[in-house]
Amino acid sequence: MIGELWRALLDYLKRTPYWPVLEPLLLVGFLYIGVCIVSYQYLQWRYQVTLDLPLFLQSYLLRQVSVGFAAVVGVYTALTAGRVVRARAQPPAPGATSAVQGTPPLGRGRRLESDWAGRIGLALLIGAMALYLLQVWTPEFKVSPIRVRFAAFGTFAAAAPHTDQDRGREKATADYQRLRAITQYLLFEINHRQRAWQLEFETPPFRSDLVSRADEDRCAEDDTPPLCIAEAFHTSMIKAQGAHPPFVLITAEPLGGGGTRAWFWLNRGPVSVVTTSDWGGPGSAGSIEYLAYALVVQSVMIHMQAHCGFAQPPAGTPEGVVVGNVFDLQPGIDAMRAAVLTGHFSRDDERRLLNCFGPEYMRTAVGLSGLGWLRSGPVRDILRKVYGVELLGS
Amino acid sequence: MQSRETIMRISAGIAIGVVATVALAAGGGTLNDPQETYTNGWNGVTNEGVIASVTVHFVSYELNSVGGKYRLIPVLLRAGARPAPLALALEQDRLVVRCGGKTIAASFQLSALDRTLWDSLSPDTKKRLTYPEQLSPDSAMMVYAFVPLGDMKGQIEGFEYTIKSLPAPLLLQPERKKKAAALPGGTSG
Repeated sequence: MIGELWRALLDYLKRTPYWPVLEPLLLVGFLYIGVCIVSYQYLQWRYQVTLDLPLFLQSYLLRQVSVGFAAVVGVYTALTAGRVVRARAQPPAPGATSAVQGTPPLGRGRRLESDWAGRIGLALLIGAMALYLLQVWTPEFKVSPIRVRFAAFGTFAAAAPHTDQDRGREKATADYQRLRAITQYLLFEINHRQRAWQLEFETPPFRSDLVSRADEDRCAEDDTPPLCIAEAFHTSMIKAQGAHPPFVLITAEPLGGGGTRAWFWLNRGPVSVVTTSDWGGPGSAGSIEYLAYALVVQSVMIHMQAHCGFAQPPAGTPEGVVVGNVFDLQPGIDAMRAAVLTGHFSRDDERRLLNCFGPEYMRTAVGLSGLGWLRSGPVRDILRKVYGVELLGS
Repeated sequence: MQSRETIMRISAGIAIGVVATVALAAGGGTLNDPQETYTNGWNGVTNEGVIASVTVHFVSYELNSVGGKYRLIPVLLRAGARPAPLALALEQDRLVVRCGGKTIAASFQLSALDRTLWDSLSPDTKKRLTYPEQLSPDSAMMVYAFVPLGDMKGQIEGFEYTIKSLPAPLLLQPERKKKAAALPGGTSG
């Protein structure tokens, strides 16, 4: 039915006086659509990613395919346009050939040379522009690893605890250490399951004296001391060693924030601080899911800030309205628990991930944030048998 | 017959070479690095499977110091098979040095003793000197303590390492003397 309609349409177009113009345009259009379909199929085959149509239409891949296709068509046109028509319109006049049979006369030869030089120059220009655009739109396939470190228990406590009076402290310390051991396992599990980025675990505990006295004093006056000290540490490491990977510090103490109150985590550039305090402490139910989720979100956030001009918090978000996207500001433990249990990226974030880092990174980030890997049989068994931990909803 | 003599000669040559090499290498006496190891595990009795030991190389101990102000006491901490990691607490664990008839408190936190000196250290050194929070079962690690140089006078007699999570302090005593004393009819030396 559709085929017949199509044939009828073509027949009609062929009878119109515009057909000589329409024919190449239709041909190019069909070729372009074919190339787009092939690239979509390639994406599915290569990365096992099935993008919905709007996401594909906004992706870097479609832009690259379009530019590549336009460049090929442009180069072809530059090299051939007018030649065939002229060759047909101007047959060589009798006696116009030079002494050597078959070569054009001298004047015409010069014209031909300059004509070819112009065409090649145009083709090179198109190629250069296409290459530039392809490079601009190429996603960042190589992202930095993320260093994860636990602060020593009590590092950011407001005052030295009265340990003999505080019996709960020993249990909290033990829970925190157990969470640390489990987190180390989870990082290895994440590294084992994907290649998009690596999480590094630094075993020595982080103490505030790892920064200079001046920085420590300055940060003591800061609104959010843990983030301030983590930033100072990161800066000092870069100064001392020339480079240091982005850094996520985990602590059991609140993050501060004074009147504005910092919840769950804070991030600025390559440094993030995550607290277990707002989740109810390191021994609370679901603290493993929370920490795994937080580490994935912080990693992605750090990468997006480094490569995609990502701003936190997202602009235009109405205060107190959340839909559970990973970059929402969760205004309390209820919202955060729901977000952890259903971790997902918004469509905009998925598009941004795809265009910034490519399909593999996007697939990894979406998969990791959903925590399906954490709830998978083998990981759940290891957590239960080795660490004696039951996940939320088990 | 001749070949037998040849073999004998070669064998004798090899034997002389081996003896000479050993004699030269050994120097004909003890190594000029007197040292003593202090441990709580010398008699096989440990405190919940935890063994701490300090080996003092007397030459470097006498000549070296940290910033000209402190003696460095490296403590090797080993945990055997335990049901849970050994919890360590910077604020609650203590190391005391018994030296010249006195007891001297050591510190696991150089930054608390001398912040300027601590700040001048490299990040890697700081990382290594940081007191850990726990020791996993069947593992070992070094912890470093610092004692003011002026307080350390006389011969080291032993150490007392209090770890809050253990029921009793670890008493580190010279290994050699205790081993000798443990032998029937043995003499200390």
